[in-house]
Amino acid sequence: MVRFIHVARAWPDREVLVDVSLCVDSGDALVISGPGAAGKSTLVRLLLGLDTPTHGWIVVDDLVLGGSTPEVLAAHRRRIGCIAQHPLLVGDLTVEQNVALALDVSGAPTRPAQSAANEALERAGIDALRGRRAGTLSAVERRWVAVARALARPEASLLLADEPTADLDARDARRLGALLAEERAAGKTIVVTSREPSLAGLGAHRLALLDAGRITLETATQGRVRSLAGRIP
Amino acid sequence: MTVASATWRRSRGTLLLAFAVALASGVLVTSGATVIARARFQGAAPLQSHYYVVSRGPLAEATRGGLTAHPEASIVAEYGIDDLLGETAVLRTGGETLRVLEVRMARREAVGAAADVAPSQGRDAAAEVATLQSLEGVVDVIALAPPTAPVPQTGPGVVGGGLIGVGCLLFASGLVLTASMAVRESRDELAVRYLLGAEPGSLWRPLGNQLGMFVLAGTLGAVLATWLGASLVLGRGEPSVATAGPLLSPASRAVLLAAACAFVVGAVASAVLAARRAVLRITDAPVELIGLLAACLLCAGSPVQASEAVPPSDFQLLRGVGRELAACNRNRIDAERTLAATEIAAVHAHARQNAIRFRLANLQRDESVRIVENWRDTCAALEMRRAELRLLHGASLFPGPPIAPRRPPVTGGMAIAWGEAGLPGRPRAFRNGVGLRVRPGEPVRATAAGNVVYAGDLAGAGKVVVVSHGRRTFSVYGRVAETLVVRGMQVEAGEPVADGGDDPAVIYFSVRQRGKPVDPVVWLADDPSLAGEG
Repeated sequence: MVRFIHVARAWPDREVLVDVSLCVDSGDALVISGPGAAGKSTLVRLLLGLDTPTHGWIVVDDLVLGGSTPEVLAAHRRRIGCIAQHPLLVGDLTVEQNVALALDVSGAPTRPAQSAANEALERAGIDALRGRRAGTLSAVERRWVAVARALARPEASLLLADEPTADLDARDARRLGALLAEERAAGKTIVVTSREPSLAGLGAHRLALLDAGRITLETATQGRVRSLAGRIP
Repeated sequence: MTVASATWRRSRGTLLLAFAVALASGVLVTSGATVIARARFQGAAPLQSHYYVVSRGPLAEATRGGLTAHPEASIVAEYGIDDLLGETAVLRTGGETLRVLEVRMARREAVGAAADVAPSQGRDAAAEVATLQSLEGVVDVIALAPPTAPVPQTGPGVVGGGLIGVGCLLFASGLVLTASMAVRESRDELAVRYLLGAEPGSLWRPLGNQLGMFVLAGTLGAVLATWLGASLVLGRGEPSVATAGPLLSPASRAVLLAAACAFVVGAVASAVLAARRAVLRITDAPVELIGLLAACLLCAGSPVQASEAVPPSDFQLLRGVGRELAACNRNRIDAERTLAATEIAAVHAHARQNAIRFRLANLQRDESVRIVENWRDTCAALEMRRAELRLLHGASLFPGPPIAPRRPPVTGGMAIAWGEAGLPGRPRAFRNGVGLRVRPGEPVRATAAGNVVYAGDLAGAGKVVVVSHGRRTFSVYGRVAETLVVRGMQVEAGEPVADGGDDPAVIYFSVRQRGKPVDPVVWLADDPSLAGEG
């Protein structure tokens, strides 16, 4: 369960988020859509605990972010599978090791971590890249490694994807949507930010439109999204 | 493993840099300290005299130790005796020959009393010789040259200090540089771990790993630099950084000590962390791993205990004594050769009227005589021991009941004795055995009880009977007219095994023990039943 309660984030010269209130229940999927510089990535940073709001609260499950100790925040991040806009990988480690790193920081022993990493690589369809060094990957491949790393997290209850389809073609985007739908079916909460208002393959989800730091629209079902899609600027 | 290889791949450039910087700064500091040490040393030594201290080879270490401990003595060079008695190339060097240490003695009380040098010289020299004679292992002391006045040296302190300063500066900047490079290189992994929610306490691990490796590389470089410097300088027997320690100020010493401690602590800590990490990666249960290691250690230790518990067998003892005896004999022969070479060297030296060489050669000859006698005594003692062991444990060397009684196979005399076969006029076919005359109609009897293992024709030997007596001993009867036994038959001592016939006047008789032929007559005489009766 994720709740944004009147969240605002301001820099000295401008306001990035203004009074954002959102609610995503457990096992729910929410797509936050909007144009560039609308504040989507700031929302993701706030949710990851990398930034704190200037006003309001963010509640994830039973934890109120902001003012938490580093240990609590680290535990919070371990419960999030994150597919970042620009996936951060360790260039000198192989793809497999990069994915296994997610389990390593969770304290998983090596062999189960490796088998879990391999499983995630197969699910993401990149098991052929297993032994490649991450520094030699293309942008699309890096994206899929990030997806595999998010899938590999054992204890994640929240899956967070920031512009996951930015450099994917339609077929790959559909495949990613289907993967997220599988995770959702397994009981995970899905939060996606995207310029596109819908993510093919994800199935029925809720949509929030964000523009200049404000929520302009929040829907309940996929049917409404379709009908609204044409009106999005 | 994977993390280590990734860390190595990522940071090999920095590792090499750390190594090179430590090496360079180590060389600079060592050289600087050496320059200072030499300057102080030369400034402090006003008057010197040279001696050859002749020491017994095995005790040379003790003599060297005594000289090092002596405040005024310093070893200039060290020679084997044959370095000085150069014309005798056959002279063997080694632990047992004499060593000659060239020693320089400093005489501090002579400063400022140049006019008084001559009278005090004789007294000083006698005292010095007496001092050197009293050291352990010294055979003789030979005065080489009269005292020489030192050459004053000025102003190398600035150079040495400068070198040390530059070395320290280089080292400090290298530390800062490698640390910053380590941070930069592990930045990615730190960021990823942070984003993935690594415990704050474990975040520094990759950085720690890397810094640990750099510290190890740096330590290696510094140690190598010091070793290089020390071996280059000490090899010439001149004062070096080793003697600079006491000359440094307390503050400098404290700084050097702190740096060394930091190195050691860093290296140990990084090794411990790496080991801990490896353990955690190998197994989730370190306790089990420790148990496994302990079990391995116990297993490894048990054969040692077993070998201690079981005493060596008689055969092993005898073999050991045999080997020792062989080694002793080699050493004895070596020593005798050395003695001969020394005699020659002494004669040469005498002929050339070279007093020092003659004296050295005589000393070496005395030493060689002592060594030769030593080895002769040892060999004799070992021979005794071997004979004793053979007597005492003969039974256990050849398992099985003793072979007795033993009888000659025929009553005729010896036609071809042991070792005669193949000599002019003697047929080669009787080698490894003897030829015995057979009286007409006399059968060939088994020499002792045993089991027939062969009876029949054998190429080149005619009809042959072979009887096994146990204890890996066989008797062979060849060139007989007719065999009277078949394979597998048990025969008693004196039981006929073959017919000598009329025609072959001489039969072949051989005894083989443990695969080797032995003199049958000696074997027959060695009858245990006879010994018992005796």
